[in-house]
Amino acid sequence: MRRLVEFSFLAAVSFTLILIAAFYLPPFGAHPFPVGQYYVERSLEEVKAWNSVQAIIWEYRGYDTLGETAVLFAAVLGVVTLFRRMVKSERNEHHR
Amino acid sequence: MRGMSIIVKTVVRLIAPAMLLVGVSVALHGHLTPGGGFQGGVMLGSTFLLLLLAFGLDFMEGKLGFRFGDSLRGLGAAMILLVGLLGLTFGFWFFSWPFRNEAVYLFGVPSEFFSSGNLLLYDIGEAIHVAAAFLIVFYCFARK
Amino acid sequence: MNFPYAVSMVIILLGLYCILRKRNLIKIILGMGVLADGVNLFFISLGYRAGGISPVLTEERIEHFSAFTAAAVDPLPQALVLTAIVINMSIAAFALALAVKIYQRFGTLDMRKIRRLHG
Repeated sequence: MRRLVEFSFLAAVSFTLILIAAFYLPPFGAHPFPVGQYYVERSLEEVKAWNSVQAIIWEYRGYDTLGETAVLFAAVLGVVTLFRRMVKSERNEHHR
Repeated sequence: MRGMSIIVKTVVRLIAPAMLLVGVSVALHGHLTPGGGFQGGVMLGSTFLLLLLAFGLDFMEGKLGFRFGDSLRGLGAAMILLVGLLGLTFGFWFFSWPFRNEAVYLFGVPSEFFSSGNLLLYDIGEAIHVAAAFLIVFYCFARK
Repeated sequence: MNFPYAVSMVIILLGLYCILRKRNLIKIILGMGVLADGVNLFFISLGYRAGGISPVLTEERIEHFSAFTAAAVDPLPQALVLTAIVINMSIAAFALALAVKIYQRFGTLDMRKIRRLHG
């Protein structure tokens, strides 16, 4: 019972804070960042790409995507390393 | 991990080529239509998961081995890095496309397939990398 | 009223609640995914423009290029969210692998029991 009271109190407080924060943000559909306008206007002549999202992720902000690829590579390397004993034991069974 | 019943196998045999084709198309037309390397690679990877669930681990390991998938993953990542180094080699900064005049094949008119420079090469590398990474992860989880 | 922002923040809070209060490791990983989805939804809705179209050109949009640039939504949050999705997928894969290994070693996925075992 006490846990329920605590939880509902926290939920009410955080929901009120959320509503206040959402009220102070720029209104929905206001398009607040001018840099996106730059990318939409220039990506045709600078990158010659129709899809400006691809132009951003590979040309304007290519280092971001390089880091993302490195993170994916490292994560899959970690998964393979975690399961590596299974691979080796299978090979040992094969030798036996 | 064993395969599923004959109904599932037949349906997957019908669906999987279409899924592979859509994945390759989404990956290769990333600079023209919505999509890109990662999205196409995810489609290819989920096709591999579907095949793995339907036909079992032994069938998939016979077709696409673990070692082959792992080297394919490295190949995709190395392709991204090498295309990035191409810009550094020919006198520009890292991750840029050096052949920027109109006459060169890969940087021509927009709306053609071979148009927007390095985006196509990056997309191919990323699609290979992501699809092979998904394949490796699913092999690891299927072996337990 | 900024209704989509409030909805995405509620999703973020649901994910945070799931991370903090659940004891099953799989549920914690699912909560991380829900939290990341809330953040991605917030970013995408920040880039929206009223009556906007997608920032991808077609033949007819090239003919009316100024109208296209006046109506296209912001492509920058979409690119950032694409990067974030890849990284979240990597995190989920690695965390699930850790959960599988923990289950193989301890025989349970309950956080409290794992903390008590300390081996």
